[in-house]
Amino acid sequence: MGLTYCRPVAVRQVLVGATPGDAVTNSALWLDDVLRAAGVDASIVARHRHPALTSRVGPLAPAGTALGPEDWLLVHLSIGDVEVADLLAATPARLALFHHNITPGRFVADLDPGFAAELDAGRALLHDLRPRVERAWAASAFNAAELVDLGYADVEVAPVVVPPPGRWDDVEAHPATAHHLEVVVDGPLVLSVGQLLPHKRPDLTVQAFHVLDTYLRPGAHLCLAGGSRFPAYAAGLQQLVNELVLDHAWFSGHVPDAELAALWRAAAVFVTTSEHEGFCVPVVEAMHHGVPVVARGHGALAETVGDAGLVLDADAGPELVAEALASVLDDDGLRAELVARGHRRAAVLTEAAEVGRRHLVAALGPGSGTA
Amino acid sequence: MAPDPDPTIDLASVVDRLRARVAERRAAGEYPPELEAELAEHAAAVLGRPAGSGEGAATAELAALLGAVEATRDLRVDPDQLAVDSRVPGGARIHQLIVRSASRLDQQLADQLQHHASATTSLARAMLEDRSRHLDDTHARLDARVDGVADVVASLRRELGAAEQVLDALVERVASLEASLAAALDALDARQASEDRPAPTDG
Repeated sequence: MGLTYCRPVAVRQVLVGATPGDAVTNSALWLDDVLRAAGVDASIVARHRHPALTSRVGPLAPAGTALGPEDWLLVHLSIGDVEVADLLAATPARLALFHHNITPGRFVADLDPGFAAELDAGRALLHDLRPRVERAWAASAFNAAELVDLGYADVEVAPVVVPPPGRWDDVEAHPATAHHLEVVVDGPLVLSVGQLLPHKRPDLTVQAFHVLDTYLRPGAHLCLAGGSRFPAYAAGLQQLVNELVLDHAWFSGHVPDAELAALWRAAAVFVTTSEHEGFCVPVVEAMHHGVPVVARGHGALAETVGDAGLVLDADAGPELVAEALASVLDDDGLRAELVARGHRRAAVLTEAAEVGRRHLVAALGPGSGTA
Repeated sequence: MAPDPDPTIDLASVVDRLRARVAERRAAGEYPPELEAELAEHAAAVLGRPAGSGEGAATAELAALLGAVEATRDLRVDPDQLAVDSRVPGGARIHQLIVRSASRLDQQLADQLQHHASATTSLARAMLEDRSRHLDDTHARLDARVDGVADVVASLRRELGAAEQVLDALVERVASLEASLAAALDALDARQASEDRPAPTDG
């Protein structure tokens, strides 16, 4: 009588880069938690791993070899990478895809042609993977539509980039930052959260703040919180602030959770003038913290904001953005309404994310493979 | 707990009102004409400038890269960081043993890589120092040129001072000539008046 070995299906998530605080990385970590809690043999591997994450994220190299044809490789594609492409081509595992969206290379072609080429290679890989991908999810309907355009079928929308409930409950605001904001920021704080990348248009946010500060609401403050991949671009933005003599505008760089919590709690309004977003997690964070949202209607932003924020025309210029900011700052009724709607919208998206994670586990977890 | 949203507030109408208010402000001249176009042009000019791409910035960037290379100085092979997954029961343990037994070879390889990295670091440091020297030379040359320009400006100022003195003398001379001319004209007028007076007749 032969011995039959039954083992659980393994689900390995593949990232190109794993970085603390990054939305794609976070979504993979939260999904990993849910998969493990369901008894799935789950793990995460990445081509580039931040040292702080090596205990949770393994190296890419042996990832494909230890999987069988009944296992799943869930790819979070954010950029092209030769080694990831090779792994996906070689693995015998079943392929699943999560589409967070990929920034079109044209936005950074002038700053870094190599990086632009990698971004475009990511989009090309999205196309090439289609025949092999058995299950596909997208963070937004906007992203799902992109996959459908590429020929993907049955794409499910699951905003798993939204944190699980209670994500911010245990994050105490950094005392020194909170004190600094209380003492130094003597006017309403306009907060923008996101990396300083050209497609997020921080330059337009600065221009809008110039209009707000000069013509509509002197005394407001602007903080642009987020790291920068391109030092020259960040230096240019600082130069723009200097030349417009915006004494109350500053760049915080990348901030850890505790400092970000202090900023959220001090903020009077959140603004994004981005031109390309596959979801935009800071919108949900703003709503969770009771901060009204002003955004331009690009990419998935109108979808994420829903009816809980001021979504301006996609081509809104600095004057309209500034008018919206002034309106939120000065109209208490509108402000209270946006806060109430924001709380409700954040709760809806948080629940949708939980449902999405459960669907993913059901689709990839126990019962999805063969013994 | 937050109050329930008010369904009577239509945010699309709010945005319409914001658009209208912007148009009113433009029409009322509250914004300078072409403000948005000028801001966009300004931002494009600043961001299009090779900000931070000057010689000094490039050197700083090289120094930062050198720091990154030096950060890898203690390259060690950590067997605990190597994946030992296996689909076969007990396979992970075997992989672990293999990894441990191979770790000495791995470390020797890492040491060789380290030698190479050290040589590369030395080369990078030498290039950086050479570049800094070059920049210092350039700075000295620029200083000399600025001094030269300052000398020329001082010389021009001196000449301008002399020219001002000449001009003052000319002004005084013209004033003096004007005064003489006025006196001459007065004398001429007096003389003309006496000649025009009728001569006395015999009675």
